[in-house]
Amino acid sequence: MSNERLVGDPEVPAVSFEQVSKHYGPVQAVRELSLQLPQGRAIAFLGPNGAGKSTSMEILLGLKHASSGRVEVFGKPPRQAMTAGHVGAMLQSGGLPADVTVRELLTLMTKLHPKPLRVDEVLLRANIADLADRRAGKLSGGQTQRVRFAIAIAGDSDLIVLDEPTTGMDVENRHIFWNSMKDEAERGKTVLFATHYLEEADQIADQVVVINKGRLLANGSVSDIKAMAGFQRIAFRLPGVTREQLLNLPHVVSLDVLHDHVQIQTSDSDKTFYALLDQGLRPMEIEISALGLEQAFVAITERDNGDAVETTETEDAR
Amino acid sequence: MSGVMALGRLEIVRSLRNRRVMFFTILYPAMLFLLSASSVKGKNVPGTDIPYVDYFLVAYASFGVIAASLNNNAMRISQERKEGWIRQLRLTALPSYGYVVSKIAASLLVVIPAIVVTFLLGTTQGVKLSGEEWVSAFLVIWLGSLAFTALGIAIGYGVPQDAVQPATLIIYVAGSFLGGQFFAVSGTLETIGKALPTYWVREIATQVISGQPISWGGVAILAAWVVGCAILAAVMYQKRAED
Repeated sequence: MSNERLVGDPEVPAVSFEQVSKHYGPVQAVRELSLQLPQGRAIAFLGPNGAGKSTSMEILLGLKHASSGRVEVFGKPPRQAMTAGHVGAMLQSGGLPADVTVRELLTLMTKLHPKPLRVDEVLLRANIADLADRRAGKLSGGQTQRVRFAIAIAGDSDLIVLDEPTTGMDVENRHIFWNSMKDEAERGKTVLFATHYLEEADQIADQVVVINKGRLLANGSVSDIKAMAGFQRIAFRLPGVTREQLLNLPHVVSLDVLHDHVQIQTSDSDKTFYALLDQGLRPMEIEISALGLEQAFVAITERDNGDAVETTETEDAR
Repeated sequence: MSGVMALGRLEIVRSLRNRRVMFFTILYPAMLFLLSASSVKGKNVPGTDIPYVDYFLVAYASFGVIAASLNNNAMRISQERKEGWIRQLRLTALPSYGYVVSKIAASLLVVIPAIVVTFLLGTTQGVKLSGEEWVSAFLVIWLGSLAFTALGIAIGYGVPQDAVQPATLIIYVAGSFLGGQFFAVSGTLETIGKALPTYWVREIATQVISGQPISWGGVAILAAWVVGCAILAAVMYQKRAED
């Protein structure tokens, strides 16, 4: 019963990547990714298209083998964690057989896991009781996504992995879906989800992992990520201001002057702002705000892309 | 194991629900059998004393079996690969062989009505066999279906998805033609046919209902097809493991 103890032990990470790389011929999809995800959290997995999110997920689900490095799920190799019933998942392309009903499908899924939920409970939790007797082929895109979520939770698994779960959903469905996801996290499940909707990450995630070009870029709470991106934003109006007047302000990361309107990104909004006042300037309509997760995400991936471009150029120059 | 059984059960339900499968497995061979049987009443297969009706009984029962095991498996596996259903199943505790085992088990059940319906129709067309002969013919065709199931699995995994349908249809029609499912073959056609499982399923089943000695060479060829296709299917399955 060592398995029970392992999962029961909150110190064992739900997911652990150690120096994991995956390449397809010359294409490096994942580069030396090291990452530990604790149990019992909702974790958003962010990255631009082609960043290696799906590949990383496929590796941790045992669908693909890492070219090098080690992956463990609750301290076990991925496939073993899967057969022990620790993992339930929903992929982007989890096609459902068109000719079976939702209930038949979920009945099957509960039989393919060692310690499943009851089918009625699955229907309830995934908010699809009304779809139980529909054939899978007759569902709309959003309904199909909800059924696939139901499949992911049917095994009552400790880790639920969702790849872009709300793609193709309208706003209302997305909110219903978020609630289902939050409920699972509150039941103590580890929920790992990749998403394009930064709002989704902002609303649900306790932890955000950002990867770009196959490498780990950031790993922390939503506010950590925002802080990491830098920066707060100061905006104001100041008639007759020139760019030159503002160039010497401390801690400024970027500066935009358009007519009378100024936008500053700064790593320390207080000091920047005091210095502005010390110069005798008296701006109006002042706004000081943190970057949203979306802006933070864009800032750190762009910075990373910029660095990489320089590196490539240096390499080319040699 | 209960997972494999649950999946197998659902596979059977899906096949029985699929009108196209039921048509090609039962209705179409039955119709062709009735047509052919009524046009050869009282005649024997040329050069033998086997009633042509008996010949067609076995020929069309095996024709339905080929559709149920070869076409059904090849097209469904290819489709389910494309849709991602196989990947979804790999995200469960189902053992890696579970999907293929459930397909084989379901095929062994789904081919049964194809045989039984044609046999029942045979009794209305003047086919007179002993109980033992009915059972032996059933067993030959039923077990012979394994060759087509294995071939179907190999095609489903191995052939590029957009080529699966034409490839399967060509093999199904050409195999049945050369195997003597439509009429008794002779000459060059028979020479080629003798290398095929379609020919030997029908031929051995014909032998057991007409009191002829069984060609053990044919049994060996049939067995070689089962084993060969099973190995091919296993190799293709491994090759596609990361799809």
